[in-house]
Amino acid sequence: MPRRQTLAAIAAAVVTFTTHHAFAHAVAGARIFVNTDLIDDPGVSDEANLPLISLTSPDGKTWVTDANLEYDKTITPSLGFAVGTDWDFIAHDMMDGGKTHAGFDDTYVQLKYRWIVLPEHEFISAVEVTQVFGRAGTVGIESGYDTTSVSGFFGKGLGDIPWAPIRPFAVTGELDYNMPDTGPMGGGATTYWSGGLTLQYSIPYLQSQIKNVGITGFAANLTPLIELGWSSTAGSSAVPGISPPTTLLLGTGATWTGTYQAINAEILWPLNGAAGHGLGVIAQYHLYFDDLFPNTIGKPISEW
Amino acid sequence: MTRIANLLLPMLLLAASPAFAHAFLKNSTPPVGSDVPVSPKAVIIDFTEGVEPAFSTIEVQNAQGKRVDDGHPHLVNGNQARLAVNLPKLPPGTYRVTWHATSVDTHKTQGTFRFTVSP
Repeated sequence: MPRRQTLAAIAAAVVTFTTHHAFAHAVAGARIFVNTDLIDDPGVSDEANLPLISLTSPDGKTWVTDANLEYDKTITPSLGFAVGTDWDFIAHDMMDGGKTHAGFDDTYVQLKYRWIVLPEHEFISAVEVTQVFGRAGTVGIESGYDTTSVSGFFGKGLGDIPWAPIRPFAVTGELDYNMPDTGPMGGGATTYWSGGLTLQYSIPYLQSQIKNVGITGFAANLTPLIELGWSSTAGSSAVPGISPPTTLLLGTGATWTGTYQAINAEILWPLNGAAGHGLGVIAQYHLYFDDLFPNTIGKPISEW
Repeated sequence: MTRIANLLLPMLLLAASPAFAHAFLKNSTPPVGSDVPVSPKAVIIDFTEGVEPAFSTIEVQNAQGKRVDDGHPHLVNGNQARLAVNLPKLPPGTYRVTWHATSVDTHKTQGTFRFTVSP
């Protein structure tokens, strides 16, 4: 198997959830859908990942450190684009004799449209197109083929549920259809589905909407969360052995949301062998440009 | 990363405008979800950011959905992050507070909470 295809297989199994996403924040009424790590949130905004870092192992011996950098810019209040890339450090690559590799992974651009916000119901939804440039990184690290993805997102806060104890919860979801190119450089890659769900419990929401229970300091801004990431092939590959496997990955952690920034950290739990071996970790530092610089780089290019 | 940093840093450094953000409820009087022994004279909300009083509201309704506040939300002592609305003497019962805030940089937020005046 060509080297970049072996690395592509690693990437498909492990890095699928940690790349090519705009890990943004979204607001619908009193609800903030916080930054999560395995899936994107349903909003568009001006912000940046500086960076999002994950450490995972596809086989228990090879360790992949992925650092994602992304910049999100609003064109209008409902339409935004993003550009991002990843830098990977692959230690003890067991698919290449235990060697260590480092370099830039694929670069991607995204166009996202938030088509509905219902503040009273804390509901928001968006659609997105992503183009991944798989030949723009470091040979041996990049995937070697381009991928076009279409995605749908939703977020729903449970604040309109009459039973108060459940109202701090919110769910978000993402579903992607990914289409790698099928030319010679595609290496037989096949279309695949990916996506996931998050369940978030907002302490800020609890204390500002339901009952101030006296939590103060750092904990008052925490949103504990659990998320499930998933990917699965949507077709058959022309080259046996390199079809994206079905992966299931669980993340548990919390997001601390400040006025101008957010920090998220999660433990990653592979739920099947294709999603990795052993626990991984993922964390991100996030800047909200729309709140930091609302009159310059943090506002939409057009208010239309 | 280098290219992005080179692009962003000058803009960050040159951005001289003051920083504001979404205005969310930070504290309130009476507290969110509280039981109070006597009727409060006003509902006062401290926001995380300054708000535009002309485009920000507080409305208090009783259990029957009737508005009971005086309908004139105002800043407290000129504090742009503290909005209040006066109340008449309220009989015992549960009251619902609904607020809409437009921060000084025009981000819009809203929320609701309840408090109870004990018998």
